[in-house]
Amino acid sequence: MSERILKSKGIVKKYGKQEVLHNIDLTLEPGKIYGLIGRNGAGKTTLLSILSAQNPATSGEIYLGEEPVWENPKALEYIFFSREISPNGAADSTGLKVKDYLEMAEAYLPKWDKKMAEELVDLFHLDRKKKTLKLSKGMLSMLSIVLALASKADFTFLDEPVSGLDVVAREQFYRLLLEEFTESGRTFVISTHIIEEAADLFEEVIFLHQGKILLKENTQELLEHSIYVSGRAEEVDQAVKGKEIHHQETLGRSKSVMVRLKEGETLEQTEGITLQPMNLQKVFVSLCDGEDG
Amino acid sequence: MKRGKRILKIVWEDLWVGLGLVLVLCAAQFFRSSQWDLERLKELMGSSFPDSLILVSAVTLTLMIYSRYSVYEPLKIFMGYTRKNVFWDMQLVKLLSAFFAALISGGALVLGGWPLTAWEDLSLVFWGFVLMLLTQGVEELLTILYLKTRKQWIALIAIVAACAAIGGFVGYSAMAVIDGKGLIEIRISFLFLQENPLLWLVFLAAVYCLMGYFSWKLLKNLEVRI
Amino acid sequence: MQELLNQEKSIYLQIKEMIERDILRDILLEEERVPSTNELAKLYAINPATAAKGVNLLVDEGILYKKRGIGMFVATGAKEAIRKKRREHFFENYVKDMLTEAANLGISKEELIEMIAWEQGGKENE
Repeated sequence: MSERILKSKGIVKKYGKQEVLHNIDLTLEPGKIYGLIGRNGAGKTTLLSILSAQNPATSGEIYLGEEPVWENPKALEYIFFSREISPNGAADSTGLKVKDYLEMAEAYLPKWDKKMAEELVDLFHLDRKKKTLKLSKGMLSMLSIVLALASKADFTFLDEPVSGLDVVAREQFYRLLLEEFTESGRTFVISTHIIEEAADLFEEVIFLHQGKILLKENTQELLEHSIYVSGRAEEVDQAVKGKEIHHQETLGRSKSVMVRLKEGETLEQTEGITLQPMNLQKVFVSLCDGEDG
Repeated sequence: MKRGKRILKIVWEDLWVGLGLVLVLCAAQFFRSSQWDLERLKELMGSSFPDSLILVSAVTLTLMIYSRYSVYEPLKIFMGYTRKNVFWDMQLVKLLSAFFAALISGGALVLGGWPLTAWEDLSLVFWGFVLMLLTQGVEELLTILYLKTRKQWIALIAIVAACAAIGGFVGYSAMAVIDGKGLIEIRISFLFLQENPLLWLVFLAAVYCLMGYFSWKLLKNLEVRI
Repeated sequence: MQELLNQEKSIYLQIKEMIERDILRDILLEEERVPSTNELAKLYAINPATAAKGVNLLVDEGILYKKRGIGMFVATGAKEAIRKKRREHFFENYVKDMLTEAANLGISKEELIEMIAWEQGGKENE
């Protein structure tokens, strides 16, 4: 397995005059599961497609170890972005059947694991002869999951893999992902906006908001340093003085705010305030608020 | 599968459509006429088959270019195949498809035992080869342009023109067969090219290369959507 | 080990506490093998690195130890060590909050002692 790091430097993406990604510097290490979290339209899909050379960046570079990624087979054999296969996306592809995708994958993905693909197709009850145009959203998600997992790519990206899946199928996916991860140690980057379910899987999370990276941190550490403070307004203000705060809300005499502690900082549990831990979803929502501009 | 083998497989897939179509039409002609002998067969092989094959292949190969570029090539890029490899693979495919179609036509001409006015008959095969290359080149440029701009009308031109041509040809041949007309003499006249072959060759080669150049310029930064 | 995770505390701390509880309940015996981090990760659908963090804390505290090539084992004396540690933190973890809340509600120390002795609520229940 490759020990190389996937690095992007100064990635900017413009569509006409509109800048969709602003100066993205990102480092992805081998053997981790990353969560790429962002709202609809934040640029998650664009970023992943650029990292995998499916789309060119307007400026900036991407390297896998020493090798540039763009149009370079030596780097591309280690990266695969299994995008959402949308039935309306490229109308021309709708005539393809499930088995066509599998055959193409076998021919063009260098590390394709046919046996695993077959097992997964059976597990998901995918009809090999069906055209993608005729598949439900859930089945399309399952197809892109099969492609992602069986690709055995060292850096595998998935875009909203569970959209369209019911809750049982989602749990099934998380378990499959973990099993594959523990066995192979491949790096996975999962973009999602259904945050809470997958939060426990992510070793690190990357928050993407309006084309910028808000943060990239170890999930556990981020959660340990994020505290929800509530109580009487004056006491809350006193307690959070000098600390990084987000998402203040007031209701009458009470106030609530999210505090992001730095290394070594602590919060005093005093009389008039309540300190509560936050989940990843709440942290994300709090950080987005105030960044909108 | 090795790259070379893959390319040959694609060439075969693209060729047999046109080949099959022409064989069916010629067979229909053969059985429709009252003469069922070797002489008749040789006549057909030497006259309507080669020209038909070239015309039909020009159209079917063109359609295949559209199909490949709009569906399969983006999927390959999606799976990590470089645009550069896609482009050069397709150049080979275009070349080899046209070459083999021309070869088969030439072979049929020879087998037909048609009095070989060597130069004229060879020239049919050669210019037929050029025609097939050009039509594929045009289609390649059109399809890539469509992929780049996602403007439906471009795709429409690309497909409709090719379909109309093949539809027209099949319709015409079918009508002729049904009406029981004799040998359908579909003779493509490349005579005008023969007047100044070298000049035309250089000109057409330049056009072909220019189209290829623009195709590559559009393809090299193409964004893929699947 | 079959408990559910909640969002009140860091996941890796919950894993750590779960293992400790199992040791106290004799579900995991001393010198017995503990599930690997991968097994724990799969069981709870969490990232293996997180599971590892919890396990490593226990290794640091001497509750678990690693046998190379085989896995993680419960150390001898782990049960007693856990009990001792929890005793030391009992005041901090349980009693302090109780005293604060009692003070808030105006419950005197004598009333508290009565509650503890009789294992039931205070004057309101009489």
